[in-house]
Amino acid sequence: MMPRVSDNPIFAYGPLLGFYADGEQARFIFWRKEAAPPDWQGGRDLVANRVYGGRRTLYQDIGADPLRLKTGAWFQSKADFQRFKRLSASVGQLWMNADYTAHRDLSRSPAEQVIHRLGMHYAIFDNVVVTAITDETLDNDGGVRCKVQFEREDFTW
Amino acid sequence: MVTTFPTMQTAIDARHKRLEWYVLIGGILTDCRDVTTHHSVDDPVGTCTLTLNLPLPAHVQFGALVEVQAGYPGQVHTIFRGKIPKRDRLFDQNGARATLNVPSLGARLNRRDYTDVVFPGPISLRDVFNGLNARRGIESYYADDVTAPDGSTIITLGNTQAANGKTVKVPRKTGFLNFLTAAAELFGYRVYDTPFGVRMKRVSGMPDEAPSLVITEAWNALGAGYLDHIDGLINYWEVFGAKYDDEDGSRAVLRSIPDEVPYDPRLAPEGWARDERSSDLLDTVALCDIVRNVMEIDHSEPYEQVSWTTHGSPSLLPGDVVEVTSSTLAVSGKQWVLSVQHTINTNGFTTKCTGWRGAGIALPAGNDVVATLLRSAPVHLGDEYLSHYAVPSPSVATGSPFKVPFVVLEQYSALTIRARGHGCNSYLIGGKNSDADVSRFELWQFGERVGSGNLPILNEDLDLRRNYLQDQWWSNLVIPITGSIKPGAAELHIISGKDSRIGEAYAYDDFEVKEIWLHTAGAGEPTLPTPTGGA
Repeated sequence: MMPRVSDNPIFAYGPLLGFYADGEQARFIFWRKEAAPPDWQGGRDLVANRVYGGRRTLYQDIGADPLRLKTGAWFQSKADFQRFKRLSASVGQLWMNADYTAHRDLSRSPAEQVIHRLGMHYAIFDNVVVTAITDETLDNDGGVRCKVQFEREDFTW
Repeated sequence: MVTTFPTMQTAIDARHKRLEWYVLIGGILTDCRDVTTHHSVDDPVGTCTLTLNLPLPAHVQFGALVEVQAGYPGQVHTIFRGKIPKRDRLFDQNGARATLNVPSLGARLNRRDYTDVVFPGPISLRDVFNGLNARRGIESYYADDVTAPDGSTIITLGNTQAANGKTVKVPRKTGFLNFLTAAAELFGYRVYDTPFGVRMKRVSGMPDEAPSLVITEAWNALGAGYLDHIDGLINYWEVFGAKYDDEDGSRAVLRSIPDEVPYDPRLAPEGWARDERSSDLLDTVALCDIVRNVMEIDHSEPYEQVSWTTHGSPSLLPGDVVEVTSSTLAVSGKQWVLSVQHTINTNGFTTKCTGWRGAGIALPAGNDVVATLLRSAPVHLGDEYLSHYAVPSPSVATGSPFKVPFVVLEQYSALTIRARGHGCNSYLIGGKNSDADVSRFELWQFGERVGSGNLPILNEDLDLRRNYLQDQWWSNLVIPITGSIKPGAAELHIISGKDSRIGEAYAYDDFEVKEIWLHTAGAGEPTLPTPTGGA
């Protein structure tokens, strides 16, 4: 029996999207329920020390929290999903639609932060770690959907 | 916009500050989970504990230089420098990691030498410090002038020929750091390592420097503590120095005692508590007095230790002065910084310190030597009638000893008979003074002779027939008392000897002694306070 591959035309969109590691691409479409696409979230790691006997609180900024992207991923087939799970053990590169993220990877040279391929602008992020894969569901047409959390260091600090 | 701090005070006072910290191992920036450094005036070698993820990077090798820098924009300082001697690796439920316990660079100063290191004296303790650091190849070291508590009298060692040949010797079995630490501590100084080199600095008495930082409750102190106790409260200090045979042959044991011990109600009912220090390095009474004064200043008031924690203060070093104010703890004023511990981890960068200050007062020196007059009048020993003597006829039968009873005190460190005399162990032979060794002294106790020795040679000058009623013709005579003499009754026997070179009629040595004093060193006692009633 041939493995089922979704024939949803959405998979014709953005052929270079996905997660790259160990010389392979795990292709998926960024999938969302809300109207607005999720983007990388970051923040400062602040230690707060309340000073005894007064109203002061002293804060020490001990660095940036890692930037986190919580998104849905939609795979055309089980094989694509299984490849992604395998590659998620490695530190890799994430290719996103540049129009759906406000971030750029500042560790890359400006010319390489966004590249244009096959009619789409891709924002590329290096040193991305997959920290969670949850809520896996299997579509009737062979596609696979799940929630993924990506993390990377905040170079804006 | 990132705030840049012009001073460390502005940084630790600031509500918000951005931490920067770097660990360089072998000059390579290295990721570490956390770091703790510790320097203290009482721990001469600083330490640093680093935790790294495994596997260890290849450059983390034995002997690699570890340098830790930390701080905030504008105030990043080196908080540790040392070399790796040990690597400890493990894994458990918290992951795989390595722990590096690194001693500071000054640890090298504690190595022993292959030979005794001898400095010609008199030499300042500072020069000894510099010399030993240079010999060990320490890259960076710095000492203040080592002075008495008056701040101006320079401390020198190797001052006394008889005690140490005017030298300062560091035995090969003694690590340099141990030697320096012990020597400096006598005078209220400390020898300890810092990220900027080995330091010798006064940490004694009330701090008189401008404070490096001001720590204030409800402002920049994250926590503070105050511990006071009287466990080590000592208001009666005795200091013992070198023991040696003086140039005149007498046994000298240097000692310093206070003239009077003030009553301290915290030590009731006696009102006093005693302790002592001793060191062969102290080769003058003046040095012993200085050490006693330092002990009095630093230990005659309750020990009060203040501790505090602030956001990391990377520029702070042991030996610095910090002003700490807390109304809750009733603490106010300058403190010597005794220890500095920096910790950097996921809870941020904090510095925990301890501080102290000596609040006692130096006491005037007391007299350590008890002089007892055993006999004042002259006594003539020998076999001739000599009209120019103070006592023309011999005082005892020819050949008999002249006995001087005395009492040895319960506690003493050295006994010496001092007297005035003339003519002993000297004969006029062929018109010239001729030396002899026949006249002697003996010490008797409990019916036994417990010590003896020759009397010194004092020219007879018989032909000059000096008028020995006049004191100017008498000389000082010192008889060191050696042997196992015990407290209690004793006798000094002065014996005129017989010289075979002389005709039988005048064979006995004629001489006189007077003003015989017993000097008991180590028996001096300060005036102690009168005990009060009750416990």
